[in-house]
Amino acid sequence: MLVTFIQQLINGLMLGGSYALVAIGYTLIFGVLNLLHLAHGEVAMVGSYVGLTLVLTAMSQFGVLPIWVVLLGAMIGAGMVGIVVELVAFRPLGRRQLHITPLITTIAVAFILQEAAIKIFGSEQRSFPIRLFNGLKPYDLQLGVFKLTFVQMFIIGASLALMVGLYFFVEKTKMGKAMRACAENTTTARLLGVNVHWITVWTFGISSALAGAAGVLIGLAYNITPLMGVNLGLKGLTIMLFGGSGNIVGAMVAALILGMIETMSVAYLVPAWKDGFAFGILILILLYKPTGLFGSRLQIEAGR
Amino acid sequence: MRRIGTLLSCCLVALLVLPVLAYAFGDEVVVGFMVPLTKKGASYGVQSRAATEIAVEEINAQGGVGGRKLVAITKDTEGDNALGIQLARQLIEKDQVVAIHGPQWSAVSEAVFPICERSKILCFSPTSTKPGVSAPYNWAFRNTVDENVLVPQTLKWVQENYPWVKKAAIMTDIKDAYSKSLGQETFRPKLKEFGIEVVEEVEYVTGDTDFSAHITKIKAKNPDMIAVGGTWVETANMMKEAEKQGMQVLWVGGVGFGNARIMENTGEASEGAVHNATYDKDNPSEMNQSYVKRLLAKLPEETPHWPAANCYDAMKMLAQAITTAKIDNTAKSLEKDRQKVRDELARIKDFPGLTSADGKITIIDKGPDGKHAGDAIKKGTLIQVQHGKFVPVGEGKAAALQLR
Amino acid sequence: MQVVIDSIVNVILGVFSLTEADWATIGINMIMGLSMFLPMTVGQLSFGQAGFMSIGAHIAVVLTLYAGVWFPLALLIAGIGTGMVGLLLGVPVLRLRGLLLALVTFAFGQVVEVFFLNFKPTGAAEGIKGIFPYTDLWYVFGFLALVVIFLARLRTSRMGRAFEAVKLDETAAEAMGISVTRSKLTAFASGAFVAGVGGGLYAHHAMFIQYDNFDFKHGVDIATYMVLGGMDVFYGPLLGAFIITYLSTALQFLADWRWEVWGTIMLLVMIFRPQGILGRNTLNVRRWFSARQAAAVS
Repeated sequence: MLVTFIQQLINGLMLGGSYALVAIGYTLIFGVLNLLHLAHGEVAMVGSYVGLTLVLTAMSQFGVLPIWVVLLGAMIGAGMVGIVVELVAFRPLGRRQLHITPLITTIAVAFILQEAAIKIFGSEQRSFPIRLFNGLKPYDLQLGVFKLTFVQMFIIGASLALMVGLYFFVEKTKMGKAMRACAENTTTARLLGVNVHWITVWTFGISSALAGAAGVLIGLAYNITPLMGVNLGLKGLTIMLFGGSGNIVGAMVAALILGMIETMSVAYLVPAWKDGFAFGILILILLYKPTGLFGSRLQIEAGR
Repeated sequence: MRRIGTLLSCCLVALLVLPVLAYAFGDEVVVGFMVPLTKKGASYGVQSRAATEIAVEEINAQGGVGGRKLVAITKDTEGDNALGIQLARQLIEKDQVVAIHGPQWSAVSEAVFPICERSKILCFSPTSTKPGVSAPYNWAFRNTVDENVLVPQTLKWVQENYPWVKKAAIMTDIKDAYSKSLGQETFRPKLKEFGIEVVEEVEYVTGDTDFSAHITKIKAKNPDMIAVGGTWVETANMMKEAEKQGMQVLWVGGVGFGNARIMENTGEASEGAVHNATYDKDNPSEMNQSYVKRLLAKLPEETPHWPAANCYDAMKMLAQAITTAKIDNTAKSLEKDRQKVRDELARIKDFPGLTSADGKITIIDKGPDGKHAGDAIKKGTLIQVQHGKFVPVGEGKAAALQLR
Repeated sequence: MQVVIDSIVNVILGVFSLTEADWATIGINMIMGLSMFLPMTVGQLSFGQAGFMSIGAHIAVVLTLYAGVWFPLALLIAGIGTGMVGLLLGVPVLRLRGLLLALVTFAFGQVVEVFFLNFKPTGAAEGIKGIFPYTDLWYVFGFLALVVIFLARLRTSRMGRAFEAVKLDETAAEAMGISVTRSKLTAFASGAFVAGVGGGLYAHHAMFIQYDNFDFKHGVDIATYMVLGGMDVFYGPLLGAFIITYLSTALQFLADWRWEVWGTIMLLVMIFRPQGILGRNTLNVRRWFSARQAAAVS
């Protein structure tokens, strides 16, 4: 009984970890640009397909690629897609934006990306080749009855590392400062010499790269389908709001909590309600603590 | 003066000709083809469309239906019930098709069948496998065998070859009509009939990717076998998870398992999995080989799967029914034509098809209890995953894999 | 080139061959578009209309199928029931604005979906089939006409101007003595009411409903009617609903490129005319002839 329970806890953490990666990128874009990037999940999906393509082409030429190379490749690929999205769906909107406009454009981009993925890769579920996994198996950890695969640990490790890295980046570096300035007030930032244009591009690029990495890791842990972005995006959004819009640490913690909630509801309650719980809690949070569990850091305003 | 005269005569001729045109459909017989090409089910739909196109091309190359050209109007259902209803109505009222080939998903069929019943037009679904889905509607037929017939065959084989299977868990996808019935209304009672104790039942939904919680829950009860009411996509993820958690079980499923990608997705985790299928893509028969060749020519990236093969067979059967029905193919005779086509389809016996182990398909209108069934009778093959390949097992075929 | 011209002509002429069922669908979508427009008149962006539609549909069906209630009465009860749910939701969201409101209403829609997925009395995942086909064009366009008349009169009425004030600046409105709470709740609840009736009409048209007939995708569709057709005037969603419903069937020949085309169209519209096709003064014929006014807002 207890063994099962602990195993479920671990399951929850792992699940949360995979959500965290996506949520952090979401949070960054919302924090700096006040934009809900509803195609963020799709960018992650693109990342996993880029990773898959790299692995498959390399396999026919050189053999198994080390995982670092795959991740890097996916991050670059996804980053580029992200920048294109910015160019096409965000920049042209200009100043005269109504709240709903970027929502619609990002949804439109999401649909286009999904359909493009189906056209290029087929709509069947794909998986990273087994040879890649066999190369990683020796790194699995066995703690008594519990097994943690290398991929799972890597996911948690990567999310933590990214979170810490991003935190320092935003707090300590010059560009991070510039981003925070934009988040406060773009006009003032401009006056102070910040190139808002550039910052926007960089924000999109960085979060998309993060999403790409997330995509590869999630593709390794689970599988790859063109529609995987839908669920990731939705969860990412929920987590971001849980943890505090724009709050990176909050996003990480909220992701782990959400992972637990989902796992526990499958394990001990009614599995089919798991999404319902997540959204129900979201509603409660939005109503009674709109700034999220930990309060927004980069962007506050319950009514913006 | 002359010009006006010419103009008037032209108008007169046109006026006389138009009504005639309206009454004759000419040399084309039009059927509706409903398939999910985008959104839900696109992974099946695209190949199914290719298979149907091949069937139509072959039919027309051999003289068409009763000397007329067969034309299929394709509608993308997106796997959406409401859209399916809308599209069916368009096909029936606007395009005035003589029969409908499709829909693919059992859920969409359930929504469309009553519409066809009301409009008195044949609706022939190639792939709806939900038990009893066509029974309530006299105008509904399907090119599939009821899972209630196939599952006992599977379980019998399991009992004979793996007598140590005493406890089972059932995983059911409650979001999909077919899966839900398979898990809860077929597996649950049938397992009991075969004396296998159901120790745990877990539900999931289509699209789930993380099964850690579900598997951990099942693992706690230590079953010998897991029966899945669902399709291969989620099952692959389940298998990987079970392997990760160190579970050694026999996986048993319905026709939803039947996609060769499952081995690619799972590696060793799927070894030994059994399901009943009616289509074998490696069937050496000439008909299958030429079909596969033409299919891969259109879609080189795909692996031939059973829904597409079912569509191919279904279109050919429909064409045969239309030919033997000797329809008049005019707007006035539409109602009678539709009736004739339906009756001819109901009479099909021993049709040479791809999707039956013995190559023969028979459509039944009324079951042994005198009530309408609308199912197909085919021979199924038990298929087991052995060393990363789908291997036919059972009477006269390969032996069962050694599992314990 | 010829193919393109042919297709365009076909699409335009296709309007004349729409069947009764098509027109019913268009009408229902127009009603849904208006149901989202109502909260918009006070500046509330509600993405949960699909959820309200679901509630209304289920109530109406339970009434007609299991209790044999007269159809118009069932619609009315469904509408009122949904309106009450709207009221319940409307109260806590009073203090939210903009994006957060949209998110809460979206989450609400999701919760409704999961609820009906599990709610056995209404068929859970299987949905309800065999619903009586009571809906016909009289009901659809009759109700639509009622809503349109209401909205048209709203524009010039006192309540309408109060709504307008709230939309533009809540604080100022409150300062002028307008009860912001009352305006917002009225708009929100009536939007829910309209959505509920729309749901009932839809259920008796499709003869089959399932929890995922009312999912996020449909919520986006409804929002699109408004966004495309025009968000500032009530006839905007009408045009938007017509165009999109019609196109989604007329563009069937595009088969699997439909979504790319849709996405591209929406992107272009958002970039070049984010307020939608019809604005407040677009149909003001006099303005077309006055050069001076032409320079003003569209």
